[in-house]
Amino acid sequence: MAHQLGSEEEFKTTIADYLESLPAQFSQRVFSSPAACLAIFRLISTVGKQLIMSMLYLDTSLRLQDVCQWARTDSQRMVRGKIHQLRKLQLVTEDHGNVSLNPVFRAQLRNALTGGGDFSSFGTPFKGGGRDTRITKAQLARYADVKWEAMLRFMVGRQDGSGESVVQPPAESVRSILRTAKLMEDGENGMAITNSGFQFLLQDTQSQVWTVLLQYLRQAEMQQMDVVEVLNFLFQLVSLQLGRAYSAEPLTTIQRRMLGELRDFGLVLQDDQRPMCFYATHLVTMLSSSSSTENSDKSDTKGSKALSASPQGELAASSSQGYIILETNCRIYAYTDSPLQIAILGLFVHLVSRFSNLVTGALTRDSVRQALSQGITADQIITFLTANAHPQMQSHVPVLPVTVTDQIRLWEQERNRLHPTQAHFYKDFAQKQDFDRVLRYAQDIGVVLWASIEKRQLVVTRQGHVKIVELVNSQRAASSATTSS
Amino acid sequence: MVKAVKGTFIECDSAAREVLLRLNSDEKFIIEDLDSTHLFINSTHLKRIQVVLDELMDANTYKANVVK
Repeated sequence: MAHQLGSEEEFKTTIADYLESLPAQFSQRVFSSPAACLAIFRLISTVGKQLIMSMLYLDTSLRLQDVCQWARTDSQRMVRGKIHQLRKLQLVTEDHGNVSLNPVFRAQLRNALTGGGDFSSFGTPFKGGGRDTRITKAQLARYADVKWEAMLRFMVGRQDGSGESVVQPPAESVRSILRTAKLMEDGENGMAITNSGFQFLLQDTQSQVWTVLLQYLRQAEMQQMDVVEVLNFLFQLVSLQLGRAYSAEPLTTIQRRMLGELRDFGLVLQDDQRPMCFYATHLVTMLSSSSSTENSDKSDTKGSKALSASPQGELAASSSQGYIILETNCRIYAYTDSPLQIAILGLFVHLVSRFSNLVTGALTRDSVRQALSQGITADQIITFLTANAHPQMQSHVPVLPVTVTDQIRLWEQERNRLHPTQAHFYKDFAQKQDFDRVLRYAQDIGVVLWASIEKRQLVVTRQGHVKIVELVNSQRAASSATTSS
Repeated sequence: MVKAVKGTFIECDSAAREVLLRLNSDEKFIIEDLDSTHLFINSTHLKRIQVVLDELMDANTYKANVVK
């Protein structure tokens, strides 16, 4: 289990965590762009937005107590927590119990909302004019899907092992991201997918894009690129309009380089005939939509849990292409002809037959156990099946048959029947009061794993053992001191 | 006099405990049988018994032959 938790840690799927980790002077520079301020504002939870909005047009600071008074008594703790979060993001400053918005953030968010200041941070439209018919939204969508699917296919394709259709490896920039994100690693015959990679595949597209972008940021940091420029460009990207041509001319060299690399992921499209012109695809423009707000809110409170917990809003959004029917007898029918979707299903489904638009199979103990051993969790399988359930199944409450979800969880539990803890075992206490004293002390410092008063036996953790030895030694020293004096 | 023993504390269901008790008759690794769901064992054997237990559980699972 430990390695699974570790890989979840690596997947800090929200940008909020990243922003928190930035030093103050960096944040100030990020906030100097109205587009970044607006993008950050969109990412914050509803309550956070409410607090910021209330403070936005105040030039003086407020007493923290007064801010808490805005909420009903039973929610004041929550407001206090939110203020603390906003402080960690450096959006709010606190000074002797007085809170105010970060002045740079306040000024630029005002600009963003009312349309003042340096508006080029929202992207400069390409000179060709507002109406541009050369590249349609449908073309953009197709382009983005092809690129993104190619990357996912590359990830699963290698694992398959059947040389039937060799997947074209994506560009070097894509591979290096996959490698530094530890989604794939270099094996004997090419790159092989890792545990985190399997988990990545089962996430919804939005979380996947965030993962890739965050990794891009980390890599930029490692390559000594200016993180602020990278961040500002990412925030600019998410605020761009779908289907509109933007000019690459005002961009810095670093940002142009990013443009070229992000193109390989299908996040942006560059027109070959007009190299100074680029489009944002739906993969980036959807990032700052409302469903991602819930996502970041959830992860704010639950930290690393973000990846397995997919909010309901997102599930509903992706249900339009639901294709999986799961029966109570664990059989699965998936209406799809996409090799990618079939390959992903193949991770945890025992596939039986394939037709032109349908694959059938079943969840078996072996197929699920194989997925579990690759680091995929039961919750991820269930979330994936729920998110991609056929519209016919979506009408059921709950979407998946309970018998099957329970069975998947049971299979997961079955793998860890033993819960081992490193410990120390005490026995043969000569006197009851000795035992009582040690037990009480151990209980006070909370290190007791197991105790039996009848048998005068006690099991404590490793750390507890050290403390108890100290206690016994000091008492022994004290008692010998009293006897000698 | 009090004795302190270093080892691994195991929390498990009673079925798994029975298996462990049987394994113990071949090669001793249980230091103390605490109660029906807890055992205290020698740490060096932990990896091995986890594998053996998994194999045993695998061998004793009924697989429905539904998928053809």
